[in-house]
Order: sequence, then C-alpha cells, then structure tokens
Amino acid sequence: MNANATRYDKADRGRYDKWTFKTMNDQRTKGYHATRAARRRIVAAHLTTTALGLAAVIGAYAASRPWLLAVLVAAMMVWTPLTGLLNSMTRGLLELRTRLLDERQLAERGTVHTFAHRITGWALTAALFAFLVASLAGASLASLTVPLAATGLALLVVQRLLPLWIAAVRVADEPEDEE
Amino acid sequence: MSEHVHNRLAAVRAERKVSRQQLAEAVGAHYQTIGYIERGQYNPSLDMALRIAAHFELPVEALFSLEPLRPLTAEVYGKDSDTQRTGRNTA
Repeated sequence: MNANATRYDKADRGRYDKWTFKTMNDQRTKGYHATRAARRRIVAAHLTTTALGLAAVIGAYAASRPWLLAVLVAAMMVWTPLTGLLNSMTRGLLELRTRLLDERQLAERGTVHTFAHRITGWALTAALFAFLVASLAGASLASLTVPLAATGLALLVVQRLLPLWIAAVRVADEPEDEE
Repeated sequence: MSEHVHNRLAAVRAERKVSRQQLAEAVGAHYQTIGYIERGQYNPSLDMALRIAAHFELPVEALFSLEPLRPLTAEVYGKDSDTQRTGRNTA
C-alpha cells in the first residue's frame, strides 16, 4: 500500500505539525466529551463564558469601568480549557493545517465553514439593517458609537468561534474499538 | 444514483484483527474516519476505497457496493444466514 500520495502523510510532518496533531488527538480528554450530552454542555459553557467575557469588555468600554476587566480575566480562565476541550472533541478540525486532515475531515471543515458563513452573513445583515433603521429614526452617529463598537466586537467573536461551536455540535459518538 | 455506499469493512477488519487505528495509519486516514465509513456516515472517495481494498488485498467490490452486501458467510457458502441457522432454504 502506498500512502505517500496522500496529504495525510506522517512523513511530511514537521515538529510543529506532529506536536499539534498529537495535542489535538490526545486521548486523555476523551472521557470529558464522550457523549452528545457532555459535548453540548461544553459548548453551552463555552458560549456562556464567551458572552460573559464579551459583556465584560463592552461594559468596561461603554461604562468606563476598568474593574470589569477582572471579570474578563476570570472568564478567560474558564474559557481557555473549554476551548481546548472543543478542539479535542473536534480533533483539531479547525486548528490543524490542511495537510494534517484527511478527506472526510476536509469535507467536514468545508461544511462547518459554509454553515457558519451563512449564519454570520445573516447576522451582519441584521446588524446593518438595525443600524440603518436607527439612523433613519434620527439617532446620531455619536449616540451609536457604543452600540456599533459592541456589535462589531460581538460579530467578530461570533465569526471566529461559530465554526468551532458548530463543529463540536456535529461530532458523532465514537464507538469503542475491538482492540 | 444511490447516496449510500454499503460496506462490510467492519466485518473484514474484525476477521483480519485490524484495529481502526491500524487501518487508518495504513491507508492514510484519521481513525475516526474509518468508524464513520463503517457506520455508513461517510462515503469514502474512490481513492480511499481503493487504498482500503488494497490493504486487505481484496477487490474493491468485495468491500463496497451500491447495493446491500450479503453476509460473508452467505458469500462463501451460498446461503443466507437464516438458511444456515434453520437448515432450510425458504427461498
């Protein structure tokens, strides 16, 4: 069998590739996300901490309360390991380099990005429409500064994280091997 | 055209005592992908189907088919598993 022709070839991997692949496929975290219910709980927790961190940043900026950044730091301390779990359950689908993924994973990555792109497209359109309505209703640009900044930041975060949430929700249970 | 490709990969893999991980490494795929193929949740490309068949030294049609595949015992003995169990051919 000649696997040299495939992109999913270990011989092509450098030290960084090997490290990231090993990290993303670490079996030690498997128990945390073995069931669909567990995976959904992790996604929900990640969504919550993301929203909390985002609210802290927006609050610190809009209300000029720097102490809210402490909430951001606290949220990040929970958010970071949760992100690791999401990457673990998706086996690095969105983090690994293309050459480290096989044909099914590449197809799945494409599906996830397409779905997320569609949703963020609608969200951007809705935001644009809302600001247009506000502008037509007489709101000044100065009064829209904070909502614009908050919406922009929120959409940026959603654009970045939505594919990961979708990929995590789509993961199927893994049957035990016979070995 | 059928969207579902039937396969007997799990049966052949069990018979040959090859784990998903071993097969995945041999054919250049992720071990989860082997599970997805076995469960019919992913149809492999022609390239991968041929590599899997080559690994087991079997013709690709022995592993993958657009029509439901008969059990291996039925292929070998020319009987359905029900017939083998009851000893009667009801067909």
